[in-house]
Amino acid sequence: MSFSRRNFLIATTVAAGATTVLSACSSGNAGGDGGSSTKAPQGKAAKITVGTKTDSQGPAPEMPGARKGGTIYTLDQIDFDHLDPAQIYSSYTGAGSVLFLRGLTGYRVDSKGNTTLVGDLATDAGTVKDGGKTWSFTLKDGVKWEDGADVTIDDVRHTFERLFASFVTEGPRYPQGWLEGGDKYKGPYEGKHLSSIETDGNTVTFRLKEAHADFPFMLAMRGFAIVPKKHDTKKKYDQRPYSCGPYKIQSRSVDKSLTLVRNEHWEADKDPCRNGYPDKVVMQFGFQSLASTDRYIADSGNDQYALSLLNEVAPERITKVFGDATMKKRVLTQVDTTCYYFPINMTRIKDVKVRQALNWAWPAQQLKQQRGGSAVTATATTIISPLTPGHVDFDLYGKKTKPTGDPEKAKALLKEAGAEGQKIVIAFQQSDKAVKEAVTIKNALTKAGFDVVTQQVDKTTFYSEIGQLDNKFDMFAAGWGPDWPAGYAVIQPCWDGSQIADGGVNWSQLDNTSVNKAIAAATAITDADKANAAWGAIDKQIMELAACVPDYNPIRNYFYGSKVGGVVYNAGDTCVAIGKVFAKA
Amino acid sequence: MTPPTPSAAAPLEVTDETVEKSITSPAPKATESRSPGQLAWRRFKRDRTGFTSACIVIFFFVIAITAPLIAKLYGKNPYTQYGQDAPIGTLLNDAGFPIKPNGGIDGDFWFGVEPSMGRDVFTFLLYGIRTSLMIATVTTILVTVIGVVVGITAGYLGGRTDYFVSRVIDIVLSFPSTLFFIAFTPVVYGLFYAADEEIPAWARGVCLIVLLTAFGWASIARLLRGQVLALREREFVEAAKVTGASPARIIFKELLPNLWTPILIQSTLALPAFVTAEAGLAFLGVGIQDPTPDWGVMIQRGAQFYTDDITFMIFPGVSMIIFVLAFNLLGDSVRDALDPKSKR
Amino acid sequence: MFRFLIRRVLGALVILLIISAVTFFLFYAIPRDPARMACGKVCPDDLLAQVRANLGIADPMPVQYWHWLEGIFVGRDYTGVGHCNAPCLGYSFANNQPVFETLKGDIPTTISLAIGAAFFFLIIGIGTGMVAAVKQGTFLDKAASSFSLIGSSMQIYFVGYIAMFLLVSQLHLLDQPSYTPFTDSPVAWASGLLLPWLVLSIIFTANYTRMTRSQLVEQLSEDYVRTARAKGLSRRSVFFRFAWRGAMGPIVTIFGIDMGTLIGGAIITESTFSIQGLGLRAVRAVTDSDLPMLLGLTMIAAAGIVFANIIVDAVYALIDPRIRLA
Repeated sequence: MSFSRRNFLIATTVAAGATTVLSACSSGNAGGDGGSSTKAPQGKAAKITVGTKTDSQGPAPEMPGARKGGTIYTLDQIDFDHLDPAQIYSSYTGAGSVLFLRGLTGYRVDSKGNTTLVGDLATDAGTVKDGGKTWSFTLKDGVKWEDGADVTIDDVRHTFERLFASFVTEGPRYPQGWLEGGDKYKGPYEGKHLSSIETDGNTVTFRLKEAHADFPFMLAMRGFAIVPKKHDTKKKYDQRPYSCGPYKIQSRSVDKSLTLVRNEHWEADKDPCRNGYPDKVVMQFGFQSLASTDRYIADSGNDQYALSLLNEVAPERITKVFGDATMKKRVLTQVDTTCYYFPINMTRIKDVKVRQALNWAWPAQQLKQQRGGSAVTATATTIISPLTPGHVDFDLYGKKTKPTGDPEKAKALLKEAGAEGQKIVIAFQQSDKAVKEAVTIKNALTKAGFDVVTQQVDKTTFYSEIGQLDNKFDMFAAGWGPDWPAGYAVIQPCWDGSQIADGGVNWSQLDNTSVNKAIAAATAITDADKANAAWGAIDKQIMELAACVPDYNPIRNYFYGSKVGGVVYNAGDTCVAIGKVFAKA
Repeated sequence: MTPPTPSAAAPLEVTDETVEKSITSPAPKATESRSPGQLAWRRFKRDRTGFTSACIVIFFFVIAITAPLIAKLYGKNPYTQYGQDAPIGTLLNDAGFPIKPNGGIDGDFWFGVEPSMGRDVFTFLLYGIRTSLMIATVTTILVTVIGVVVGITAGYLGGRTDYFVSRVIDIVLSFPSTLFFIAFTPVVYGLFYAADEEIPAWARGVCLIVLLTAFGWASIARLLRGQVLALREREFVEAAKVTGASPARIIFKELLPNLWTPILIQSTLALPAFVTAEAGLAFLGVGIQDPTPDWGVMIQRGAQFYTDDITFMIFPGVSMIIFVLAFNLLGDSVRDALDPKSKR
Repeated sequence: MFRFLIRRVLGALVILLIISAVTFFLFYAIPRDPARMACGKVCPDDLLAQVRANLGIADPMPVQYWHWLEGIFVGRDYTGVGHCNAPCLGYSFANNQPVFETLKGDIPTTISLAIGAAFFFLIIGIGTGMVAAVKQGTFLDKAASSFSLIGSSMQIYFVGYIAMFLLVSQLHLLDQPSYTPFTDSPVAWASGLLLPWLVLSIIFTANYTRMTRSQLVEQLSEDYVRTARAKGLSRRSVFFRFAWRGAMGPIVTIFGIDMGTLIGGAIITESTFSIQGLGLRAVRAVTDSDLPMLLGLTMIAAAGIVFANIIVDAVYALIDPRIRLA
């Protein structure tokens, strides 16, 4: 879901250049002409449709050859940062916790990997009224918690109310801004309800300030999984959440392992999203990607039944793994929805020609080479990733035709603008990788006639610093992964003028009247195809203003053991769908 | 209370012999008389290992000093990204690895091309050695000066000063220094540079020198303090005191001449130690940063590509081993020359 | 002896206190913000202030330091999370777990690395040193000396990778270094750590070879050894009962220091082999700006060094009665 959290997480495990093995910038084959065996996978744009009431009924689509029973293992670098849904934002934690956390909506994935938004605990993906301002969901009958008690509509209301409590600081904050009266509400623990969440029988209704056609997509984020009111231990809930999914937590050793066993009260025919094939899931943490890759290569013992949700094929082993046909079959390759880009500070670089010159001069191919070539990154020319609905393919600044940059064209533009020798201060999130990229970018932009200053900013303060409106940088190495698969989640938070605020994420401080209008119009479009076309047009509009330099989309290569079956990608959760896997006999 | 110092320095009694020698002036030998220094030099010249290693060490310093000149003759510099500027497939492939075997070594690139960044390894290494040696040399000089001053002061004054200094030394030596370096290098930068200022390369160098010095002086100070404590009780110092010599005179004229041997030995051992310490920190990502060429930074880069391009790691790694080994051998020979009786 | 120990331990505690204070107060000079890490993707200023309060870093520094000290001796309460029993080193900013619990999980890894390496370098170092001393001046002596000298000039961050390249990637003789608890499988424990042990022992052996050789050469020329020989004791028993005993003191000293180094300075070793122990934990704590974790690690490392010194001095005195403890 969220790139920057994920990035935070990956970043925190990679010391300031210390554990070099982790930095995903080095890979490939030494010698030879290279690249042929590690051909870039083609990103197929996700078309996530909204499912019907029938789709929302369980059981989840069967996986061919599936077998019940056995144990599935995971091998990943780091433990989940949170287990309390209200605090979950990272896509990795979200993808893993799907086994025991359930929300009103969720993603149903069939055996071919087609992803549909359906009602998970709700009977369908929601009923809309008032042109997108009022949303109602009806709870399925008889879904039970791990202690056998029913999931009630009070639990649902409580889940959304507790998001407003002061200890909740890390989760997504859409409801706080979207729900009527959300700005003043302080959480349910003082005995007050939020009036814009109404319950009636088995139905909950949310009243929003403005129309949001994406509301059911937002609810599918793990951050909005339901919490039982009776067992809400507030801050402590983070240590032991309650399950209504196919598995419950048996034991946990922080940073080492999390063992899940069957939740006896779970019924497959009330769950469209999870198959629950294995009897047990043992999640293991503390494995660097090199270590996990070598274990998958060896493919012995329990590792045959292992998969990773975060770890990918280590850059050092890409050549080896992709060069071996049997191993290559055990890799799920997928372009990520995240787009890394360099927003340009519009309050400091006011001339559109200067911003366009930056785009023309960009060393796209050099950076790609530096990150490990086409097996691990794809050059981005748009803000919306090829995988996200709403993506329209265009290349305004010749990145595909002149991948090493066009300093001449940039120079000419700078001359037109009368800004030769323009000073550009670029901020990076301090890391070994960023230091090297800064060198390459500086060299390329200098050739085009810019006076470049590169700045490495500490990771822990990077986003606060570039989020300050009066910051002293002209460009920032940032990026964004949509919280749900839709143009809105890519464009609105980062490019709408209303989002300009200290600590916000409209880093470029773009406040263009026609862009703002187009965003408002697209937000309310309920027809998926029309909405997608509208978001694609906005993407192009922003790129014409050159408010950023799109950099790249990462390519994920998930490796798994030979006895793991049913490995498909969940385009909604942007990760391997662990709820679908089974242990082969 | 002071734990025995495990340093390879000359044991006390040995120093005493040198001490005696210098006081009782060298015994006349036949017709010519030689100073202890001359004797040591003669012994050193006869030591073939020592002589060879001295040559190697000098060689390293010479190439470090003349690096820009060599680079000019060779026709490349350590900053241009030759590999990336050339079209894909001529020097580097799509994934950033050299096309030619052995790290892309050929007539144009003697030591190959740096993977992914595409710079010239030969000039990068030359400049890297230059940076590292500069930092290590300055640190060694500072550490020696501070260590000598503090050690002699504490040992000579004794009493409360000595107690206080010894405790400070205890504390400094108890700090987990590597952890401290990686945690607090940003503090030092933060004190002098705002977050949106680019930290210049020289400032990183100065910061490294300051931190390495801050943790490096203590062991040499402790050693010298012990030596001075022993010397202080000896007759010639007593005699000087009785004749009314000023403390400055006692320190500079009586004590210091007897301490040159341990000081020299300690500093020859310290320099290679600082070269490796600096490289270790660079390996952890603290200190010198790209694009400034540095020996340690090269090894750290090499570590990233070691499975696919080991050649790139070999050059900086092996040259560092040769340098450290030569310097250690030189240190041994210097000791042998100065203390012929030392047993090691 | 007892008085000596008491005095040394008290002195050590004072040192640790000073180190903790220096670390704590320097940390606040770092231009970093741990609160931002525990704040969502969009983090308005008021939310950031809330996080700071939740983390307990809104109080003035001396107050925070006082709470930290208090925690070590009497434990402390955390609102909403529960009680953290003494010795409480605080809750990690990064994983919301008691620091002490997290570190307890990492200590066995680092200790395993140190002990295994020590096993190898003691055996190899003392063994070659003995051979060199007995066969003084022969080819064996010279070979042992030069081998150890070359070893001591190597750095783990270079040799470690070369060893992994040759032995793991190319020849497939050893496993990629990893850590399995000894209690789970002693075989996996040893095979996973074998490579780091060997590399560490190459580097550390040199000191022991040199020290053993020079000490033995010196001891063997001492009068008491000659007397014992003259009295008719066999060469072997003189060697092991007298000379060896006299030589052990300095070896114990450097061993103590080296163990302190191995445990307190595992950062580079663990980064090289990417093994998760105290060293990698430290690297992560630094990037996360995780003050409680960093403080805990500093204290453990410093305590390791300080107490290794005390133990060394005590053992030294036990071995060599000529040393009086004062």
